[in-house]
Amino acid sequence: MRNEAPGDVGARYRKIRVGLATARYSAAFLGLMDFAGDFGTSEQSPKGLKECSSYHELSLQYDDGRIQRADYKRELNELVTRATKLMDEIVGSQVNGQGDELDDASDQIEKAKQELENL
Amino acid sequence: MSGDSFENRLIAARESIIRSPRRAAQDVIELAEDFAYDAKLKATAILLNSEDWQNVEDSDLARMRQEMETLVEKIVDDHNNPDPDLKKETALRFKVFDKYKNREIERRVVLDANNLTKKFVKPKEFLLKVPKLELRLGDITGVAGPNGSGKSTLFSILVGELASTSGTIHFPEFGLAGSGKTDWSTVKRKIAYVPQKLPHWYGSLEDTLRFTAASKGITGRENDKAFEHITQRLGLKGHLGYAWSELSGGFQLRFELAKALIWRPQLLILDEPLANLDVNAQHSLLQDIRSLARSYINPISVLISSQHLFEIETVADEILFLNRGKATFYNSVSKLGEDREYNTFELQCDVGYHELRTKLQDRRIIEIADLGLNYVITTELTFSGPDLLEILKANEIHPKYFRNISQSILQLFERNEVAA
Repeated sequence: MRNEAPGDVGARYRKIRVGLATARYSAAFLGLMDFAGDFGTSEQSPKGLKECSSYHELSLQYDDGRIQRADYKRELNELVTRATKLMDEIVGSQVNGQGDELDDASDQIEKAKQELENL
Repeated sequence: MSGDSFENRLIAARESIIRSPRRAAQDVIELAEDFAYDAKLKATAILLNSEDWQNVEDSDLARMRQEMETLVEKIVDDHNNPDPDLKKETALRFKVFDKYKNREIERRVVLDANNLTKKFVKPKEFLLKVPKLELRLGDITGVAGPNGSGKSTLFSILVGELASTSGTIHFPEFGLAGSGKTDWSTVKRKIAYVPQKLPHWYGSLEDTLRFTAASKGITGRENDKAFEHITQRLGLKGHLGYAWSELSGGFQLRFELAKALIWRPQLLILDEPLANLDVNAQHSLLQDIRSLARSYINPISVLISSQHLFEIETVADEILFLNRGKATFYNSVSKLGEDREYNTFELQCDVGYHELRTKLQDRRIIEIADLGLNYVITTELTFSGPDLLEILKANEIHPKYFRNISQSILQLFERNEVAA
């Protein structure tokens, strides 16, 4: 069974976000860790690991009764917000790296269209 | 669903909110993800996590519905009248997403075996014969077959523990000089092998993992990073303080897997890893193996043997089926049963054999076999699963278990004569 292509940034990004949004946190944070490892810069990649660790540590604390539900929910929401921000940064890096190239390609297509019309 | 137009998705989300706000969260979140330009709207949607919504009191349902509808209206407004800069940025993002949509791993061959044979004379004559095996980065190859079919023998040959009687094995990615003869001392250092019977670990689990990484040249800060990564990735953090004998079978396997993966090998060979795991542990392990194998940056080729046929055919890209030493099927999972002449279904229900035969009246049903635990129903190819379910429904037969095994490895066990 094949899922999305491993290099499909969009599909993997979406899958993690939907995972976070539907409370499938464990899979989503592992997905974030892999996503950061695959597409993040050398600074972003360890952040993915850190957020994943934080989530698991928080879960352990909650399971052990070391923190109350209200605190758990508050910290979890903060973690989710940080995780979505990190994903946007990673996608941003990918977009910035490709933006110029794509603009160039669009310009070239426009130019070619113009040339065809002039003919 | 994600390919639907904005209008269709909007209708679906609105209907979903009216029907059941508790269940509508995912539709609203996906609507925001796919069609909103404003990141704040996406962030608002993402925090509508299901736990909050599932636990809401009935008295709060109206408020919940109202909040969701307001959010949906904001998404509509944002989608129809976006901020020009945000629209440009999002358009560029989608262009990049589109560009990378089918970006695959370069599936280079890691192991290429040809005409492998192994002959044993004692205790009884046995010949293993595998004409071809090609393992590629990012792919999972499952090896299945009855007990004593030669799976472990094949694995022992591939990892250099046993010499083949004839045949060749090449490892194109291992940077070996092409002298024609396999340099097993180098190859063994580059294959991660998890045997069926796990060795006992002595001393601290952390030290063992760190030492394994160091022995592969991963030292200092890199050693810390590799250790952090693998223990986190495989969910071992909470178990580092245990002694080996205190770990469950599932965690022993996970630690062994961590030891195999900490140095980022290109080839991972797992001999019957699911044997002692409960259902949840099996699924989570297979999911992890799949994600790790299909990493974009560090893809791994995985060879895995198992008697858990359904699980293995779910996760594998290719299947090698061995029967009495002979490779009777080696192809993509999607090719399983492609040349079949019949459809086959497994059924469990509370109806006796004779009653079932009487009730399942269709000329396309060829045979109903009672295997004790369940029935196996063989039909013509024109008779599909829904056809059978319809007849069962019409006769008020309630299936406890139903599975179409027409394209399952299970068929190879029963037919045993599929062409390689």
